[in-house]
Amino acid sequence: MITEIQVIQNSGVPIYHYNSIDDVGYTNESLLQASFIAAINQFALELKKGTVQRIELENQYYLLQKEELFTVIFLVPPKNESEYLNELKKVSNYLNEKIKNDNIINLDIYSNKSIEQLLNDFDEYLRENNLIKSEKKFENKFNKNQFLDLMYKSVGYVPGECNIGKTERMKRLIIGLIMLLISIVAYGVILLQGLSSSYIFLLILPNIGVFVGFYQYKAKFCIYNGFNEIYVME
Amino acid sequence: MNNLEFLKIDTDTKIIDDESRKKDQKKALQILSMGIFSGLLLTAAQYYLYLKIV
Repeated sequence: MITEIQVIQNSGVPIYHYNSIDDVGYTNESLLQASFIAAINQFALELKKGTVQRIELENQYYLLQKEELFTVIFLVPPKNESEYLNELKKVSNYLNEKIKNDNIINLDIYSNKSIEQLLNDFDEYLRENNLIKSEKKFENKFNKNQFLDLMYKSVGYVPGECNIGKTERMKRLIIGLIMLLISIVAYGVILLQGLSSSYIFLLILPNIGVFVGFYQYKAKFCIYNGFNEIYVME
Repeated sequence: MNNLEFLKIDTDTKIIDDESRKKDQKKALQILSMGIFSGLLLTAAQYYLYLKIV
């Protein structure tokens, strides 16, 4: 019996997952698995100019079939490997042909609507061929958040809480300290030179700079990044 | 070009979902207003001190 069937983009983004134990659907484990396998595949391709076809565990095998746009992965017991390999090739061919017939040029599940139909047909095909036994229909709607969550976690970004790393935090602390120094020196000059009190209002900008710098350091959050929709975790 | 370039983790990235964007904007606005308020308060304190001293 096939324990798991997974289809991933060659970049590592999973697009289909079935697990006979936990039923259909994505888990963080399956997302990590997809990234791990894509990394090994890419590594083998870059360094050895070949693809990984089998990963052997103590009592299970990952069998892999890499195509131009995707890789199909079976997790199977260490018996009847040749039968599973044949099934894997059939499944992979089916998906490949379907992609060609539907004129699909990329498998971006977030921008390409036709992928949803493709995955439903693929799910149907697996059921017709008794490769999956779950009665629950495959849904790929919810995996986007899980995937994003994992992607963000892997670099340390937490939406609304942390969008800068250690180096970037230190930069803001230094800016805050420089602004504090400017403010103290300028205030001293105003006092010692007996300048008009209105000059103190010129200190508003460095004073704001002091607190904006310190607050960004303390909160691990950059205002500029927040408004410009980016994170820099360096 | 180093052929291991693909292993580099992308730590500088555009946020691609609306929910995270909104959370970030809210937080950015919160820190900015706190910074402005505290800056103004410090200036007022400096002004008060100036009047006391001079």
